[in-house]
Amino acid sequence: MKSSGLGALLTLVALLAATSLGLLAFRDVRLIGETGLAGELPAKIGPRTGRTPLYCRSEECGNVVSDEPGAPAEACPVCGSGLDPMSPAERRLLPADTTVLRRQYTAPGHDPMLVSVVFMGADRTSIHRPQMCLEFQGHRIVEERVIAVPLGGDPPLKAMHLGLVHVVQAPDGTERTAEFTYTYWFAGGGTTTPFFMRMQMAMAAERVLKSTAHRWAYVSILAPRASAGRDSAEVARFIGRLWPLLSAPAP
Amino acid sequence: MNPGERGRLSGADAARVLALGAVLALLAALFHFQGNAVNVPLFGRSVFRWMIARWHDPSGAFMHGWLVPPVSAWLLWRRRRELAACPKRVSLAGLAAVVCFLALHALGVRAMLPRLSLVAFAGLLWAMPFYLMGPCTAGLLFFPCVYLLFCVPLSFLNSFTFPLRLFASAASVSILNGLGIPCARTGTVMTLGGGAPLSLDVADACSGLRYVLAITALGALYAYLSQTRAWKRWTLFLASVPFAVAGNVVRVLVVGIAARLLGREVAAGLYHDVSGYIVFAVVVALMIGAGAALNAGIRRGEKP
Repeated sequence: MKSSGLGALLTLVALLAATSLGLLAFRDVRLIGETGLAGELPAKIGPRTGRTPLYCRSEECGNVVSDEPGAPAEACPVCGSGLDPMSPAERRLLPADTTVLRRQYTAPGHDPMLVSVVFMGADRTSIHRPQMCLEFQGHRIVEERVIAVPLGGDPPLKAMHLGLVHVVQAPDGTERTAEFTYTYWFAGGGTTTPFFMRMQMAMAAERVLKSTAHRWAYVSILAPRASAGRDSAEVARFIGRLWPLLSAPAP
Repeated sequence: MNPGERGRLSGADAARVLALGAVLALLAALFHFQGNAVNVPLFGRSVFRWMIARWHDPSGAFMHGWLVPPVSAWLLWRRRRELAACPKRVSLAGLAAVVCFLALHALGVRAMLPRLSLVAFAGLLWAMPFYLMGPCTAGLLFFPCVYLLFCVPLSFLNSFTFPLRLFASAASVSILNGLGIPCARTGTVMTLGGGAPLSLDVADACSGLRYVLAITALGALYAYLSQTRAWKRWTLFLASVPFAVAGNVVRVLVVGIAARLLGREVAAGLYHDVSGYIVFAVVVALMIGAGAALNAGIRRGEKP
């Protein structure tokens, strides 16, 4: 056959054009809106009462206020800008159809627990690899393991449990170190996993094989960490109370 | 041909040029205008724009991506005479490869996995000439096209950051104790004794992952240029991973010793200013040594 024959070139053009048309026709998948989780976080979990943190829309201000029951906050008390349940950075970086639920649960004599649930939109990048976000926020990860949370008669919930160290530098140059635990898992399509990669593979397989995309949710709990190697029992007990309320929404 | 016709394309040649233009335009359409389905408002539809955004990942692990396409182009340039001398013929195996890489790209877009599309792009840069010009050309293009894979940002490798940090801190603590500098470890935090206790955390930036990624790219290039046999090239390339990890351990050790002997400020300065060079010096020395050993021949009488 003649080198670089016109026929071969035209075959290549036809193949590339067919792929391009195919992508145009079959690029989109059907989004399945339900995550199987409740649309809001419970008001109380065990002895702890929940408050919703609201972020000032002004990134320069960066203020966070707590929405008190009966007295909803409407504007930032520092700069007067509006308030938002998502931080300005989350608004900027995450796809517009991402939904975030967040509540800080506190009770006297108990560690505070900050619960966040990120619901993916049509785009999978609503949910990032958690370690990446934590590093960007200035946390250092000093511990990483999977824990099994007992759920009564149900199989235990597997969650990733991280130990975090956050160094805050005061204006006078002195440093203050705060330690946290960060526990997370992903839920979607009737299943859960502590592994980001496993969630991604499940999503990719569903998109390719079924032309559908379930919305996944990323649930996380930030709690204080008293010392390195501290048992995760308190966080596990809290998750044991939270997850049945979150995963069995009222009809 | 009379002088007036000189420089004019024949009808067939003009058709070929037009068809080639159409191939390039469609390639641009497929990858620049239809290449990405991930966070389109932020990255647009271009898989290249997505890739470049990833190169600027704050972890710095993929900054070497900028160097890879020029190196590939240079590798191609140095084989230009051999490429020109290759016998040209259309290859059906090349056509099959084109179909496979187009399917991979479609899969990447549909599954929202732009890395698959980038692999498909590098694959098409190899498969299209394979189809149009035959196996001799494909053989010469193989490494420069495979080398392009080093600019695909494999962000999921970040999950190795924590184990690498643990390894660097554990190995450094063992060596420091062996050198007579008492040192304890909690997770990734090293506490040096032998005076006022001094804590050093082997943080994410010290995991060595960015060095592993950049040094494997360097190792592949060095192995390709310095070795002639496939098993030697693979040996040297695969050795670049433990070399990078070893270089990072030496870096943590040097910073630890400097912290103990000269103080935390000096160690911090050393870390920020020169510790990256320590890794590269160690790795380049190891790589040159291994390359020389392979070239000398492990078995007596072996041809280099």
